[in-house]
Amino acid sequence: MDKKRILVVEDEFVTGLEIQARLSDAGYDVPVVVDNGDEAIAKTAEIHPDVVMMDIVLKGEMNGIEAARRIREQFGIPVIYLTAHSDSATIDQAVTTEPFGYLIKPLDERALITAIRMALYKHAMDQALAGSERRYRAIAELAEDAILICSRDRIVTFINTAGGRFFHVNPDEIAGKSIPGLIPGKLSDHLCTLIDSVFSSKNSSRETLAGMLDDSMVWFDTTVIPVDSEDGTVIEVICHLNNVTRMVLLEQEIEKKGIIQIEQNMEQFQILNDKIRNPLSIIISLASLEEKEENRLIIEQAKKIDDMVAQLDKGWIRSDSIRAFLLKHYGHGKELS
Amino acid sequence: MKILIIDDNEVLSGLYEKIIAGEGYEISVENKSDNALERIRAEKPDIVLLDIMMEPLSGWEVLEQVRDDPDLHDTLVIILTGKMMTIEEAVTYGMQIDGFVLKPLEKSMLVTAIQDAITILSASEERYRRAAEAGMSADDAALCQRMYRKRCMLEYLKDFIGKQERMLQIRPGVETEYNDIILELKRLIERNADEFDRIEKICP
Repeated sequence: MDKKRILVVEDEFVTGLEIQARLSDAGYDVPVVVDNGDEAIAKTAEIHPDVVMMDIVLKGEMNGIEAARRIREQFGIPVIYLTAHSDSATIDQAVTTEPFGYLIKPLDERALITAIRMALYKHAMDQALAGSERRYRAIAELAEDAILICSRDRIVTFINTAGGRFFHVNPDEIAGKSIPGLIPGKLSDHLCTLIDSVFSSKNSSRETLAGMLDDSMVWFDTTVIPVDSEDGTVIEVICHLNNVTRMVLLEQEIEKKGIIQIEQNMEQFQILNDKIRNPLSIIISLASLEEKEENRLIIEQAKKIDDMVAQLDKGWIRSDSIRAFLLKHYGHGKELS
Repeated sequence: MKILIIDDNEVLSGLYEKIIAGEGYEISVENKSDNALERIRAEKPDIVLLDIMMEPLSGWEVLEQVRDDPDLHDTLVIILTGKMMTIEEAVTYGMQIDGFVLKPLEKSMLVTAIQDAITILSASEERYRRAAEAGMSADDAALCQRMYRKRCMLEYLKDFIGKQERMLQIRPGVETEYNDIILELKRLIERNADEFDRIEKICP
């Protein structure tokens, strides 16, 4: 493995050399010691150190805290402070730059090495975590469905671009927004109920949510899954909302048309049936008034027509069964008298 | 024997009137369903032949009027129509009617249907007479009379279920949307059969 490279920024020449010597002995690569902020930034850009050891008091106008802030912002490299100043105001100021360590001079060698190893380790972990988070965000961005992460108090901590499009919000500006502040009316009520149930049951849950969005009815197939901490409590939930509105509308249209068509057919059957049977009855009755060969033939032929009409009865009964099925499952259509 | 036909088709009811009169029965015709109840009240027929598909009142509505009328509710009503009875109609009206005959009918079949109705009528009256002679109260005797009439209808409904199941291709144990309503009709028949068995035991 390559030697880890360390940049030492120290205004006292002798102390700087001493630190360089100790770190070199411990197996680190310490190519240079600088004594002012501008040079510290320039060298960081040039040699890409793994860690910067930063004295708070420097030569020149820039102090170590300002130099550390710029290095962190520009290069994301961990900084360990070393200083003789230990007053709380200085420490408070240093803390705002998120340092990876804070060492008080005179330096103890063991503390120095431990601080560097911890900074290296912590930085590597942060990098891995940031990489992992970037990966998951990329996956969330791939989805055409809305994905959002939500805390127990219904504050949204993440929403993907597709979700932002649905609910008209910039994903970068969701900080502090709650579900009711993001999603309108009934849709929000249903989602909150679902989220609360997942927090209390600790199990994922799936439901189709329906409500108004942008003045029209929408349906979302929604899955909410819990994110557990190690002790098993749910710390947040991930909500996946799949917009199925077009599918639902299409299904409704098909069902409605299907039932209306069946009902029309049934009415036709019924009318046809009665309208045919009455004239047939008249023909048959007339023909049966007198027993003649011709009348027997008329009755025979009329009965053939009646047999066909009986087939319509079957069609009517079967249509009624299909209609009953559709009404039971979808509840559309009008009731026949 | 007085018979009343209620049917909005004037040509057909006229023909039926001619056929039935030719057999020697006293027959009249009502073409307007909203006049039907008044007509039955006025004529007190022994048998009513009732069409279903009529306006403004359907035959079923006329039937309800008759059954709701304390003076007429025992009138023998035979449905004579061009439309098959549905299972729902059988559940609602099956035990309120005394027969169901599908048009078209040739002369001999119409006459047979009327003779069958008369047979039921006179056999049930015979039941009443026997009960009264055995010393039963008028109410109990009427119960015996009604029980006999309705038992004939029960047999018709049992046969009707079988036909419907074949038509809908309902197989035992297979779930269909019609199971519930058929089951309801079967229970209705069983309930009535049990009731009739109980009455039968006390009737002579």
